[in-house]
Amino acid sequence: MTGKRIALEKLAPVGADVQRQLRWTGIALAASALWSLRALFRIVGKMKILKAIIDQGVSDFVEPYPQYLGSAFYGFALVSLVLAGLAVWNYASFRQGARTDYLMRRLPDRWEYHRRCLTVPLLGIAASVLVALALWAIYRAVYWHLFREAAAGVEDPMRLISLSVQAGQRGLCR
Amino acid sequence: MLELKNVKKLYGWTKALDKVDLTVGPGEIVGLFGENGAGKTTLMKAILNLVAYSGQITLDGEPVTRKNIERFSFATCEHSFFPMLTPDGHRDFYKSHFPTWRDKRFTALMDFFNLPKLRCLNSYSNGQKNQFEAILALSQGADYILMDEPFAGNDVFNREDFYKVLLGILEPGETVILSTHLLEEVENFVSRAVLIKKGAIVGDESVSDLEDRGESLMTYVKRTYGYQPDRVSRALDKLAGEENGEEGSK
Repeated sequence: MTGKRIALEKLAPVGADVQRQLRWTGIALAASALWSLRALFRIVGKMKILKAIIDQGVSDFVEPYPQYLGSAFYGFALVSLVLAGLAVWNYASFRQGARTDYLMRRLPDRWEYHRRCLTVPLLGIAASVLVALALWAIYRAVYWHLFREAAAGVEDPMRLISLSVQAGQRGLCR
Repeated sequence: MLELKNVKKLYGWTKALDKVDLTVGPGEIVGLFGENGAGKTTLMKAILNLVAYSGQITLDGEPVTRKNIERFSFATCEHSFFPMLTPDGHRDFYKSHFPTWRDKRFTALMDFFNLPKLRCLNSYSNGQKNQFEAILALSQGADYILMDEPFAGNDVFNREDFYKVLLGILEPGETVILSTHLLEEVENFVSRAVLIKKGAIVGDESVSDLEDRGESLMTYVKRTYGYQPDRVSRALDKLAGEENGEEGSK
């Protein structure tokens, strides 16, 4: 356990609490994931209505998948921005109270300085992008699955989406 | 052998270093003297590659790179330690990065100066911080120890003790380049005086040559800098004359 803790400490500025940085990155990513559920709720709600309408024999149209996303993934963008700021903060921390950057810049290991400043922010941004992509793919799969279910009895179901696109292009509101 | 050839550094239009040629051999204790802004700090930073420069700086014929940078240590009055770390934490950090770390010397100097080992550096007094900065530079195991005003803020007894300890612990191959304003204090400590003015080397003498000539370090520095000993009395006479003139006109 001690070995793991020491290894983690080498990934952040000396004296910084790397566990706290990682914990807050995790919390921010979880919050972003929760916020993104808005898109999923919109998709599920719409598909339920669509199914009910189609079951009654009435035709309706459905917006293409991207239009359900709205601001659902803004959380991940915000987390990435904050993590970029953390990288700047990490570099600045080597100038707070002393010019420790002089020492870091003359270490035989040229990567030590950058490793300590950039690892957590870059890992966080990579995790943010990966989680966002994974959720985007999952919501997209849910969209198509529910759409196929709702439009099961409809001849040429893709027409329902293209009608929406055409309506959007004509500036028609629903 | 540390060699600087035609080293130049510009800050905007200001010449911080102007065609500096300097050679420092193993075992020398070089005092680097000059007024504020003369280029002493810039010279040290150039040697350590902390600032960009033009010209050539080599150590034993090789340019200073990551491969040989561990042969230099640096104590600066700006301090380059980790404020949130204890001395033991510093020892671990230095040990992991500098294989030549001198643990015995570190412990001996910490004990000599009676510095608290369990407190983080940010809780030290300024004098203690200076001492710790110098201890790190001396314990790194470097061949060339660069010290930039290391004792600014320390009391005179403290500084004297440090110079004595330094002379006692330095090994023949260890070289010190020390920048300071405290000429008289280091006169018996340095073996060579290098004078820098407006970025250029304007004087370079061994202390033994000065002694042979019967000239003190202070006199040599004043002479080289063109110091006018009567300028204070002239200024006072002028001021007194102006005041008398004003009184007379009343």
